Amino acid sequence: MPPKLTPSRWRTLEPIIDAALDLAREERGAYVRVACADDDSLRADVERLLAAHDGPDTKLDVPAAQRFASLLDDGPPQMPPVVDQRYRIGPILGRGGMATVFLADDLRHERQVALKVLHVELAAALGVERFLAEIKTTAQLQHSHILPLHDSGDAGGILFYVMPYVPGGTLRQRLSQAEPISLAEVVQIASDVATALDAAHRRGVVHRDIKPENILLQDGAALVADFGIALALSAAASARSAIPRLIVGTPRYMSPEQAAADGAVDARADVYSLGVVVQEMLTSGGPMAAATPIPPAVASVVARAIASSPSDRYPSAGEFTAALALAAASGAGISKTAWWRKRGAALRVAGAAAAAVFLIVSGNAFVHRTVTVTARQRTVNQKALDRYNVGSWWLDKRTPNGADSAERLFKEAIAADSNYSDAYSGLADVYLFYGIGNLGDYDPRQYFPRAKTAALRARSLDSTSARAHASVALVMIFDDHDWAGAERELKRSLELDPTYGPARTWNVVLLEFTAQFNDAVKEARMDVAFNPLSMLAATELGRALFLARDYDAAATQLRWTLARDSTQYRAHLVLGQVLEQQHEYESAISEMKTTVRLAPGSSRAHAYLANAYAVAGKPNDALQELRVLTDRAAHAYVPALDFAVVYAGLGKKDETFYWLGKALDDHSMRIYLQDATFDLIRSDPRYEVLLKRINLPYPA
Amino acid sequence: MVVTTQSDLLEELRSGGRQALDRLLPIVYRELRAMAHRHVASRDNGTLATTELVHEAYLKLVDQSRAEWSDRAHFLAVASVAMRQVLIDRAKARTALKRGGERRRVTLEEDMVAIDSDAESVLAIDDALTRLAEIDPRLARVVECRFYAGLSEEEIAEALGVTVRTVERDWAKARMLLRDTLAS
Repeated sequence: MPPKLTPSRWRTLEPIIDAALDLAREERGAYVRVACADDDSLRADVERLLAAHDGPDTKLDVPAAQRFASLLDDGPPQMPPVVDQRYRIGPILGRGGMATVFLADDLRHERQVALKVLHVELAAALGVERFLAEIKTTAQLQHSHILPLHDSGDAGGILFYVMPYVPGGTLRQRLSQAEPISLAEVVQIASDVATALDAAHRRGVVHRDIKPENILLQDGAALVADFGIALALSAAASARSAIPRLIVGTPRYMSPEQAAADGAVDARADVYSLGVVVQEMLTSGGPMAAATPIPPAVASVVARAIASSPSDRYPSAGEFTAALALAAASGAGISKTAWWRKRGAALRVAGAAAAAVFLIVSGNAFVHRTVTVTARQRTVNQKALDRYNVGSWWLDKRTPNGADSAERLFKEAIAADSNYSDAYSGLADVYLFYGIGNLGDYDPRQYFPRAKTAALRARSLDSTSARAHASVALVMIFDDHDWAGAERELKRSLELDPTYGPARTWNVVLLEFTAQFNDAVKEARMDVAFNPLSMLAATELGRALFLARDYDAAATQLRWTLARDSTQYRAHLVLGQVLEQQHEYESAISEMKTTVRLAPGSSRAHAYLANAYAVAGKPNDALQELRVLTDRAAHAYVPALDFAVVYAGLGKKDETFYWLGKALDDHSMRIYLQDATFDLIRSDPRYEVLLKRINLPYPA
Repeated sequence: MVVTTQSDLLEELRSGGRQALDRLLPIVYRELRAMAHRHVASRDNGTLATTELVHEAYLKLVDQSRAEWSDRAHFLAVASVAMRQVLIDRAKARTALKRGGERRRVTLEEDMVAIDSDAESVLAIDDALTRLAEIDPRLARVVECRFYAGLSEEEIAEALGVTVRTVERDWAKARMLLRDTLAS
């Protein structure tokens, strides 16, 4: 057993360990032998620690809350058998972050009720009397789709309120069932909720906490619960000077303006929340369910309901659900025109969203296409599945270390099950992210061929895997510039699984790269509607708006993205580009500096900082950043495209063309070619030649 | 649904130092507990993502229109301490409930996990982390940020005021020391 390590011992060991870690694994042994000379005990310690470094994964590699989720769950509150001499407490119906709901017998009226008990901490923080006063004034709404409040009270510190018991359960429970919710059902539920919301809004009451837990289902109808509770909590808390500002709500369903807590939310905050709920219903049943593809017209309606600015949304819940019903009735499927098959024709043909036409179908028959997906029931062994899941989690981090771990885990998954398609797709995505440059500077010529092999293997192992088709598409976009092929693969992917988010994002990327900017914006909006939590999708919408030259909208979208996650360095970079176009040079430089700070390993960040300096009329600063790239290129790979970015900023056409040509050779050509960075060269005949080399038509 | 205050959080964050941490910790702690609770109680599928919890807490607790980049970094650092505390409290309550006796030693090897209860693992890791802090406090902070708050390397770098490269290296060293500590 090794002796316990002391701080002073560690100070002796650390420099040797540091130096050893800088070396390749196979070189470490020789180094340690030299560095420790004849001190055998030192050498033993160093070797033991380095062996620990090379060991398998530790428990620490999975975040604590995920590993120990079971520990975070509190027990239910301790309740007396009878509350307020009137309600006999029965079993728990549900528990949330705010309250626990019990089934209870109302002894006075001999009926079953739902008794909701606020968590003790919450009740104490709010002040019981004020809360009870508020709940009375705000919960007097009467409507056929609003669950009424029977009673409320304080039983020895237990703050409760009583509602009718609805045996049908909540929408959350319905969502957790494997059976997907049909489009007709989605429209029905949303419309019921909307009539309740409209009625309340007319009386000036905003719900503020619309979510599946608060929507109850009974005999095919939906009832909205907890009306006015959020406001009551909010009002009760604001009345206490100790808690001057307060946000009540559930982040996932909360509108941006409610999250900002300026106090002035109106009906459109509820429209937003309902939009998120509808989006969740549309993607219910999970990726394995035989799902109905979501018609683009429906997705567009949802996108408008959850627009980040209230003025872009439907003004009322009723107008939202009316549009939803109309779009659902149109039954438009996923169809697109492949414009590159008829070069010379009008460049921009309407894409998916624009092609969707609203058709009014008489009666209530919702026509929608159903695609039967072959059930993917192949069994994967548990070890392979575990490795794959943890690998996917790491890949989502989008960091070099994350990708490194993901690569290892996917390989382990393949070792455990050599026919596991998804693990090959995961591996392909790892190599793609390296090659595309999302993780820093890695030579695409080393990574794309590996990505291609893995993606094609994934597809051949399971031709019904949405993930495999999406990975193949990404290879076609960035390595082959095979636009028609990529479109075909993405279409297939979305048919197989409309809920596979990345396929939608890659479709945006495809439209951007092929200069179909307006369609890219529409598709990006849909992508965001379907994946409201995806930072990748949010950033890509910002870039699509930038490419479509809608700079104000792009800036708003990117700032909103960064408010949610300010580490998204690509969002900082594109925002910097937008600011350059708005002639806000100092702000642009500042964004680019942030990008460099967040992604110091990325030459692109330095290239765009140089570009911003150059455009701002600071050529000396630009040249200094260029030096960073040239110094780096002396001993490491730097994408040729990044040099082109700098020279374009400096207004040097010949150099720009030289480096863009190089970018085709080293496979580093990216969507940046299509944005304002390279406006300088678009009228030059050499530009047409360049486009030809990546199979793109020269715009008329 | 959770209810939170955000009045002076920005000022607290900006004032920095141990005092701000002490003032903030209960608020963040309460918030994280409520959120974790909600996720576990109502989750439809999938796993609880720590990062999501912490980011949600930040969005809710801090006035976004006034917040600056560095506020977020400070907040995340505080949140990681709070997350650690949440887990320890829960684990202690759990073990007190069940036995209150001697804790068994755990190792970090995956194969050994099965014999240890979650609560024991949490406490053993906590002990190891306390010992790591004695050897090198910064390594322990990196583990806190990454393991308890699920922060990315970039976020940790910002929160601790070091480079991403340093974070990567610290994580590697912390990992080997913890493995060594828990094995001995």
